[in-house]
Amino acid sequence: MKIDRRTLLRSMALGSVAIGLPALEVMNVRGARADESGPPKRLVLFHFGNGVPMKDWTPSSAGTGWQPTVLLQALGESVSRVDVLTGLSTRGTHEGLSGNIHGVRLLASTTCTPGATAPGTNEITGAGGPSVDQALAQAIGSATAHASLVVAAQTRNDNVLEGRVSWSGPNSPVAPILDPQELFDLLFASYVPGDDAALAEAARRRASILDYVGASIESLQAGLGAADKARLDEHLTAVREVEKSLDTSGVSCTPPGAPAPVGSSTAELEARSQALLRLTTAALSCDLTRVVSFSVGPTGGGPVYEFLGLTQPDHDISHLDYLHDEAAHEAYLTMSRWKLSQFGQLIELLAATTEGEGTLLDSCLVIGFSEMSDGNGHSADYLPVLAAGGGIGAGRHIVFPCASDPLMNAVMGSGAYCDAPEPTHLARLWLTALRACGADVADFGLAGGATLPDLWS
Amino acid sequence: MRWMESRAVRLPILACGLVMFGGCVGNIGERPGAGGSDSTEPPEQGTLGSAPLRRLTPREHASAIFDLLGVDVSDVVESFPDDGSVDGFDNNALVQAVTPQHARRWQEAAEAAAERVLASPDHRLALIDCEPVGAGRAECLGSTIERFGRLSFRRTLAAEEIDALRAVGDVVIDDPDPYASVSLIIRAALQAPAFVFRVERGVPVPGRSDVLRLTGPELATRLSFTLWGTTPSPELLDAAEAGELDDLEGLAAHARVLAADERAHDVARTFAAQWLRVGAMGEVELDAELFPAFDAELRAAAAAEVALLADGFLWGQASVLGLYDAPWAYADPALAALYGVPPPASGGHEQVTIAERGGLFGTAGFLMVTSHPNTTSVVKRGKYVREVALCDPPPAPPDNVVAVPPEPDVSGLEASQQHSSDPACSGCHRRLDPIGLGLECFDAMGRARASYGDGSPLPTAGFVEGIQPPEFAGAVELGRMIADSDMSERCVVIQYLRFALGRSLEQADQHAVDDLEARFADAEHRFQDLVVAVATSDAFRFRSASP
Repeated sequence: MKIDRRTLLRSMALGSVAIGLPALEVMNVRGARADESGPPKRLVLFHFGNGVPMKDWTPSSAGTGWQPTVLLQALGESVSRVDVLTGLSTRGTHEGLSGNIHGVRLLASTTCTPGATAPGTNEITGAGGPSVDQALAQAIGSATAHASLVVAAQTRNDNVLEGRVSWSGPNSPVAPILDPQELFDLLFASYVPGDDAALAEAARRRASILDYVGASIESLQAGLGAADKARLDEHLTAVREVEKSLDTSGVSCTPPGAPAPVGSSTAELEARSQALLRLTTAALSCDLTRVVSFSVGPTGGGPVYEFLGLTQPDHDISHLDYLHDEAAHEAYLTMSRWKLSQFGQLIELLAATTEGEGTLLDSCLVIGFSEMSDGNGHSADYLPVLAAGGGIGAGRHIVFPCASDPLMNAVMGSGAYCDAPEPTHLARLWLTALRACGADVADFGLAGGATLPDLWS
Repeated sequence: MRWMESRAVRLPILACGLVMFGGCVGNIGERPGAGGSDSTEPPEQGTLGSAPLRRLTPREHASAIFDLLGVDVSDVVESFPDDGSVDGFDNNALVQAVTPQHARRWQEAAEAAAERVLASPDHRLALIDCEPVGAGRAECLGSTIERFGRLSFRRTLAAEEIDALRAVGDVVIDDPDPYASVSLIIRAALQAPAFVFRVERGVPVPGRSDVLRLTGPELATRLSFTLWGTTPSPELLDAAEAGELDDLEGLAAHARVLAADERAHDVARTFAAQWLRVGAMGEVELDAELFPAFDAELRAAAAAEVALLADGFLWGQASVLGLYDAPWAYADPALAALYGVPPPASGGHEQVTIAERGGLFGTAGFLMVTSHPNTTSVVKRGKYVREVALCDPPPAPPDNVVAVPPEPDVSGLEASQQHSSDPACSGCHRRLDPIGLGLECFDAMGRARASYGDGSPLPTAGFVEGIQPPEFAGAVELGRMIADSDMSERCVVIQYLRFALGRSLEQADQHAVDDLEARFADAEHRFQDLVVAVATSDAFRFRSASP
């Protein structure tokens, strides 16, 4: 039986189906899709800023059977579910352009595209194109209530280049949702049962206004320049997305309970991170979105993680001379291990959620990465990248051809694998993921149209 | 105030010194205030930067709704997505993206505004003075839309725009509440792109395909948002539609009226806080073990001092450059303890005179925000001075640099010596570190000190490459040389232009900066005059015809 989702949801909105009853789960979206090709593929980015101490990251041998390093042990049980990808690089993305190095690296990692500059200058003002999550959202996002979710446990607003992981297009940063309550409201609050007729009438009024706004945008665009039109297109896209959520006044799964209140302080970072990860998992499970960008911490400046017993800010720790100073080493390890523990928990949450015959992790391509490898060197080579889910092998250490880098060779010591003339660009990983998730794209960033072997297909 | 008079005396000399592209001598005093062109001539080709579509910032969004309807929706606006800053300013149009979260929050703000205005009979009457019922309903709604729509969109609506809003109202024509239609109309108008964005179409300039002249209402909109941070008043819009802004004198007259108002002062404070990074000062974290006297109260007091200091030079006859070399500080009891002066009687911030302090570079706010949590950073202090005060930012460090670890016992002097011995570093660091070296007489919390913690001597002097003579010792001398420099004068213009135009500066802006710098010097660096100079400049009155 095939049920058109919009029809189904509209009928729920009109009150013909009681909201929130278990019976609905039978007729949920995935139920309706069950006779298609199984659950849809989803992409989940997990970003951690300011790199990691790389000598403690890379397994000592390639292939399988390696022992988890001290950093990878921080993933907990999840370490057996990941592949370690060594040798990916964003080198060459911003050659000749100028901007804050942390921001430049972050843009390079998710967009793999040269940044946009102010006319007549080489100063980067923002991304030059969409980040991989937004590129995917633009390709497949119309299928779900939310084209994507952009979430962060903490961010920075003092420098947009350093504080934004996701960009919907050139110079168009997507501010992350930071507050679990806000994320819960966005995803589930409109599904609270109430007076159906009143809700439906309220939705009708909102829809009429949004129709008006959409039509106004289109008529306003006439005669404007290309950049202004593009900005108004964003507004139109946003209005369409809000219209979609009016339509989904019924939820196709059992919503989770509202999160416990959690503040915005650094002391509450872990509680916040976990609440956000749980809600993100619920959103994926309910098929409210298939694209997630999650950042556990921004690049560049960051707070002091006193809850970890640290006394210096994130960025300062990433610049300590950890190769020669054991206290510095310990601090960078502690901080990095905490960030990775959050990645481990995300994987656990996905693996613990059943879907059809398997788990949610089976349909999610989960990629953990930092925008630089060794924080002290701001290095664009040897990026720390982990991949899990989506039916990937797991347990492998895959070493891609990577270019030699004197500093990183010094950092890595005997763990250095990189001796190829050219790096393997991170963009190829993203292109692989985009295609695996159903985006019909010829290329992404500097991938040169090439995907990576041995990953998802 | 001897130091201010002395500035006035030396100004004309300075002013000529800084115009590097000629045309200075002889022009000063003759300028009609027209920004290098008379009131009818469009700017020369290639001298206008771009004019990206600007969207209201959250602050402007709330202010506009308040001024339109008299209701406060700042509680809703607080949850708008954060735009993030570029060059320290949070109003850069280049990154004013629109995401679904924006559309949702705009919807909430509009709904709150409509609900609140209609819940209050006084506010409702100010919005709609007729009864939208019975035979008079259509006419009543029509006149309301005409008036409210014009103020919301900052221009007179076309007939079909009025019809479109009326059609939204008619969606609830059967609602027994006579004001249901009005509610929908308000909500629609406040989510419309014409409200949310400051759309500028301009009018063609004969013979020029590259330039457009702004219409009166568009200029009124720029004036009001730039100077007051809000939507134009009905009076200003009336004046604009009557053609009063079309000639330079009329525009200047209105700009002067707006610039004299306390609202402009508030916007100037916002500008100064973002320019000087007061926000970051309020979030400084220092190592609690090394600095037991440091706490959130001290940090807030330090940030407030910088805001107060700047405020003394943003208004009236003061030169804004005075914020660098003011011979005073502001201390509340917490800062007084830090500065080693008696606590002020009032319990709040009071002006105090301290030999080794005075001006921005002696404030705890500046000294803390440019330190590591455990020790000073000659690099950060130098970088702040270059970026904020001189608009001469260093390039990003080379890839794969191994930075010096900020150990409590590594003095700024040692760190700097490492930079200068490595040729890969010295090129840029000689422009940064020596500035910080001259400020090593203050520790990471901004306390004065006579030696490093281990008793080793402090550097005796710093120097600022690019300023003559380059040597200085301490915050007071640095402040004086920065205030007197051509670079800091130009930098105020650059920083304010970024804020006023809401974008990063471009190659083509060189001309505007040159011109405004000369006018700023003519005005003896009075900030209010700079505001008027920008509002009457070509960059303000014209826009590039976008491709």
